[in-house]
Amino acid sequence: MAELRLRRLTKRFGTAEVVRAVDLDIAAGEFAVFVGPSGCGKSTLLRMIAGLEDITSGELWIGGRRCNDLEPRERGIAMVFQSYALYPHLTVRENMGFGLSLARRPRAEIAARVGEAARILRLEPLLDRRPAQLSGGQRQRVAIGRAIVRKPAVFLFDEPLSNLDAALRMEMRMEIARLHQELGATMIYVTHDQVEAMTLADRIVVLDGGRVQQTGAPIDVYRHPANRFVAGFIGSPRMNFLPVTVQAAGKERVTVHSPVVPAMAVAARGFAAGNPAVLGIRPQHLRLADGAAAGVALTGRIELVERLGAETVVSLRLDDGTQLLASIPQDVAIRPGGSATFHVDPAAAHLFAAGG
Amino acid sequence: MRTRRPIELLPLVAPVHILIIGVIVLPALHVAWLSLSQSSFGQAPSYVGLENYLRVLADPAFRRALWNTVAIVVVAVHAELLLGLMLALLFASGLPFRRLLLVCTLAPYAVSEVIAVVSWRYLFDPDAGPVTQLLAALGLPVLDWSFEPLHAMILVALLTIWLHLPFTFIILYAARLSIPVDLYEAARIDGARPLQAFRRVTLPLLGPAIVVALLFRYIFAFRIFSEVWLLTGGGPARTTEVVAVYLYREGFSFNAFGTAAATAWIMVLASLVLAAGYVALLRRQVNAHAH
Amino acid sequence: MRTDRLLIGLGKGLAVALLLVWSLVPIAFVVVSSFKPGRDIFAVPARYRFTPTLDHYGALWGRWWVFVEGLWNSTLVTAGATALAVAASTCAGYVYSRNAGRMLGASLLFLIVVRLIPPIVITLPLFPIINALQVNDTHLVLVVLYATFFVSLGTVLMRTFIDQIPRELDEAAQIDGAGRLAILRRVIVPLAAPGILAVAVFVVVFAWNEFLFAFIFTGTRTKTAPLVISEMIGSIDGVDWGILFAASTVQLAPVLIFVIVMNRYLVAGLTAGATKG
Repeated sequence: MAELRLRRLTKRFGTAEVVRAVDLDIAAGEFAVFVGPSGCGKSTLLRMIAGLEDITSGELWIGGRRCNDLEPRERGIAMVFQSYALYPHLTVRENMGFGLSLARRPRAEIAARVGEAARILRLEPLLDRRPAQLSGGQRQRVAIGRAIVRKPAVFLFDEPLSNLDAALRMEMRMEIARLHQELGATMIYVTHDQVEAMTLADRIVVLDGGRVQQTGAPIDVYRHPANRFVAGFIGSPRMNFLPVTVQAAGKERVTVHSPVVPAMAVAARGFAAGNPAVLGIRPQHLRLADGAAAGVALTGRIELVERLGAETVVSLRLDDGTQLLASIPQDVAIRPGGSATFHVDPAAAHLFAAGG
Repeated sequence: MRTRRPIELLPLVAPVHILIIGVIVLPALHVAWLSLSQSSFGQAPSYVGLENYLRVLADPAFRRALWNTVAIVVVAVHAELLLGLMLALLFASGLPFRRLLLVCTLAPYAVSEVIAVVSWRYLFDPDAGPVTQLLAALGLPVLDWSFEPLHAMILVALLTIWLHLPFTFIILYAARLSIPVDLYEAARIDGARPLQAFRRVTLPLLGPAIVVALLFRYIFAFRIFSEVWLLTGGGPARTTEVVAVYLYREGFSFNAFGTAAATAWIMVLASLVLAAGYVALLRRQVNAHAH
Repeated sequence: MRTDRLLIGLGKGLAVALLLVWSLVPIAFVVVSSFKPGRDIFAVPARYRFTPTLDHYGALWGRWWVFVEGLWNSTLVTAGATALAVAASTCAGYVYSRNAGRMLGASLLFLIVVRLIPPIVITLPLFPIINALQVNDTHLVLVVLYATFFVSLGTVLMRTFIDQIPRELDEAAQIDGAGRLAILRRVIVPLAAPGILAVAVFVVVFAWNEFLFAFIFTGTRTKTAPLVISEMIGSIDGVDWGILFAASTVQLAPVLIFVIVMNRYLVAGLTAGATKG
């Protein structure tokens, strides 16, 4: 267990700045997830922490030690790769004990630690196989086992589940969550999958364009996205964005409207009357009007209905051409072609500055 | 592994470069200097400009050797190419015991030039060699290679083809195997007959491999020495010498280092011209892959 | 349609037969004749039924002890040159595979081009240098010469083979605490074994069979087997073909078996070596 401090950490490849002045503190024992679209710099940031990429500028502290110039092996970290990166010429046992054998640890100690990791991950029957004889899920567990054996202060995961099929991915996700509880180690996990991010993280770090956009507990980030990028990235289906104009700005409340949006008061600050703005509404917050429903009404033509059984996703085209997605938490028999009205509770809406 | 300073890599690449520079580059440069000066054993060399080159180029023995070499290169290398191409197509058309036949085809690769000369001298012995007897029995002309320079050159060419056919064959066969089967299926759907498929699909796609095989074999055939030296020693009367044998005689029999060195640099230049073609081809392939 | 197929089959059969005659007869005559009684070797008409004898091998052992020494010299030189070329090529190939840069690219091209210089060119200046260094008539000379003419090809081959090993394995090993040499020794070398074998096949075949350098640079103590055989051909008191065939068979057998066993690596090496540069 160790805490990390990242101070204005920056990575440049030639003139391209991939990671820009990242400031971040990760507490000992915390499970932090770096999430963002591909090319956002999350993997590079992880590899800088691992010591696989040089730090262009800024400082990296792990467990109170400045690590900028330390070799990976001196940083007290272990890493699980997306491709598993198991040594094909070694057995599972040798793969897991490789680091200890490099460090010339006594044979008995290696056997004990490999055995312990194999027990935790239920890998005992596979110890004498080679990676080629394992399934994808088993390889992933061996890769994790290799990390455990090193008894690192910090575990690094680089998109570890993206090569697995959906069912296995869920199983391994729960396995990793269980490991975090059992080992209590600091873990940093990189993914582009927001479900993994939401379910695993103590704390989410949303990255875009090499910058940290927001950090916080998953549910806080979901409920209070700091900007339009985070709002659009976290949550599925994606949040709806509607261009609006500010009609009146109060201290805590701002009233907005547009040709298709009736005037509504939204909790927000820092807007002035006449400003253009963007109204954000999650598809789950749009309810099919059933007479009793209160709130602001949005009406449009139904273009597409996706009936998933437990959920129905309706795609609505408003009069000004904007598309609106609504997610209804039950199976509803509606057909495309007709018109429909949805209600939204203004308290659930978000307001962002235009152009961002 | 990330590299903070390129100097860290030096110990790993140094051995290869030390060998290449120490054993090939510096001596070759020394030869260049020798070729511009006059010297022999126990003599301090003195600068004479291009005189050695002029003397070599004017020497009838050198001209004969150059002519012989070019003839062998042209005849043997193109014959190899033709045979290698036919073999590659034969193998690609599907053969039983393919691996076994492949190994048999490769066998001459393992044979030393010396052993090959032993064998072919025996087979073509003008008095009692088995091949000579067979040719005589069939009423065909025999090779009187120990007296007839032309016959000797034919034998050398045969020997060269025999030793190097495996190389040419493998290059072409590998290239042929890398042509996807769907291309032939597509060609058949498009109505191509076998010969058309060969001309319009196989040949263009084998093009780069053919050029690589040719350039390599030009370069390596041009330095031919052992086969000639061991078969005829260049005789009778220096009529079957090749450039490398001429160089050896000048340098080691006559101690004429200047002319030997000039001959050597003529060989280097010829090789480098061909090498430039090879490098240009590599470049083009790399660029083609990059797009 | 049926006759077509039959004709094609016959044509192919004939082609294969010609191929086998062409490739194997010159080798078979050497081996078979080494067991022929001396008077049968040049019999007219050629005699294909004979009583095998080991006389020529006995004579080779008794009268040509220098050939036995030649075999030993060949073994030492081949082993040394192979070890040197493989080690140097693997190290360099690893660097060229894992690093990029203008300088590195240029230096690889340099290696490729320089190896195309004809070997005979460098014999002229090396002869006095070797004498000056007092290493004449030592195994070291041939070891270094043979290795040098294959490190370029070896480096290119090793780079091609190492390129196929995922870089994540290097990184995983680095996280596991391996330095550059440990990665090379414990991850790269085991996984690049086919490449190493391909390079080894090239060097072994070349070093075991080479004539020109052996002819120029060996004295009485380090003559290699091919050189001794060449002296048998040129001996003044007539060629004893029986002994010559016996010696040729002994020289040929190990390398022929080696190539047959390693044919996969030879093919892979030839293919990668010519097309990848």
